[in-house]
Amino acid sequence: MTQSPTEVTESTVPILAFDGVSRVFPGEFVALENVTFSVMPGEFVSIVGASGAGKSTLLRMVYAEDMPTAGTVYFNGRALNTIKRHLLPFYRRNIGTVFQDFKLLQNRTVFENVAYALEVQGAPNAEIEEEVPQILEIVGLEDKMEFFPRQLSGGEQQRVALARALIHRPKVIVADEPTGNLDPISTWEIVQLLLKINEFGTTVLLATHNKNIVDRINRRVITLDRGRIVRDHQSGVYAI
Amino acid sequence: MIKLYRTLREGLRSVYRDGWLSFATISVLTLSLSIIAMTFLLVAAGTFVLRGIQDNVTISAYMYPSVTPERVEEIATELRSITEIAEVSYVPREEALREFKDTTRDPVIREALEMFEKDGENPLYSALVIKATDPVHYDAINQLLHTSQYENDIVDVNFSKNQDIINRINTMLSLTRKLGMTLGAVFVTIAILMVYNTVRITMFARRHEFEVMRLVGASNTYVRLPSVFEGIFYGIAAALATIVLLGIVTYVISPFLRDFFGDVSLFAVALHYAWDIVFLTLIAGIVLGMLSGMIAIRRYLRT
Repeated sequence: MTQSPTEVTESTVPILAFDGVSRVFPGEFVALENVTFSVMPGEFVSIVGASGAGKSTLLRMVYAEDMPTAGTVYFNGRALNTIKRHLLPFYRRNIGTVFQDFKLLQNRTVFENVAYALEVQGAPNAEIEEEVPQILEIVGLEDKMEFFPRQLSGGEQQRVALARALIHRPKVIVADEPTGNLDPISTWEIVQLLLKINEFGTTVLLATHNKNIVDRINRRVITLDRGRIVRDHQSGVYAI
Repeated sequence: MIKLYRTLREGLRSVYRDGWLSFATISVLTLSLSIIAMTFLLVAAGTFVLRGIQDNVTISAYMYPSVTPERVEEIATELRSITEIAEVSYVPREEALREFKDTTRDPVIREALEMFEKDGENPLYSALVIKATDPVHYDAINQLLHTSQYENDIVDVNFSKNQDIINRINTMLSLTRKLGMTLGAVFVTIAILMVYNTVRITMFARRHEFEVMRLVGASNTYVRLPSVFEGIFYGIAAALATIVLLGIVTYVISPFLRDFFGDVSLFAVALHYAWDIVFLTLIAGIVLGMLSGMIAIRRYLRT
């Protein structure tokens, strides 16, 4: 039976599973080697490792921006390589993404940036007008809806990115070094938001090399070293 | 429907917000369309001139002096019934002499003609001046005039003298058409490459936007459509600019091209083909803009 990439299933099934996943780039550069792990719905997982360990490559496979050269990635039991290319955008609506460089649309306001995630799904204007202010209130930016990204601080921009990642109620939030460009206070604000989101049942994958965050939040930690998983602890600390 | 409206709004928003890029793209497109349109106009004007010359080419069948006016009229009527013959006019001997005297500049010939007139003689023949519907028919008409049914009436036909001119005009017309098509094809190719390149630069400048669109789950169609609408808008804007530019340029340069085109005004030719130019320029602009947008964005849709 084929499963719609957007279908929700009850869960003893891992929401995410990597099965023997490898990624080799041209020139024989091995970014990931035989990575196997699974993530249950509602988990908060930190992916740690030195620069070049393969964290970003791993996360890119979660939102299907890249494909393994060996092995399979599963989402809710469905192999991602069975999803036809033109259906991948619909799969990506299960995932909310946050990046170090925020990736906001510079020529749109805060409201428009967040609304965009709903617009592409064809949400009616009434729904957008209702939901966007609510999510911006959650991230503490309800007073800055008409601001453009260049008028915001780094921490505020990242909160906009987080709001955009959340607005369509994804199953998984993928955060790739979201605090890399932020000061310590903003860093902790973003992490607290991620923890809050996780409390509501959203699975969170956080790639970071910020030792303080990892040690403080005391959640599952998967450690990568040169493309391989070297450690996977349920209440882990940052140890490379 | 709402997605279509949003993508249209996106396309127009991009045009408005990226003012300088939009201006550059429209300028390149306008230049390309103008070159193509001007090439065709010049070819059309050249064709007009050649056809004008062609229209004035005729052949004359000279009649024996013994042929009565009634017989001449009979022959003229027979010839007029032939579909390839557009017009037949009769020039009596007296009129032929008068016209020849009025047009010739050679003093020796004028003096000789005056001597003939004094003696009451006329060395010229009366003639049937025949104009064909198309110069390609003159050869066949010439052969008809040399058939036995007219051998007692027609002393000579001046086809061979005009044949050379007729053939040269036909060759020039054919060459002009071929040149126009070749140049047109070359400029269209250049236009496509120029516009595509400019649109690609525009897309490159917005590559981060496309990345975000992909990440939030926009379908390929949703990402592509604004670029398509943008391209259509560029095409329409460029077409309108081209039409205005063409009107101004042809009006200004027409007087300077009189040496080439004689009485044919380039501006008048442009007016003659005005609706064709408007229609074709709009279509070309829209297609060029739209296709460039669609092709240039493809690389940003790939994983």
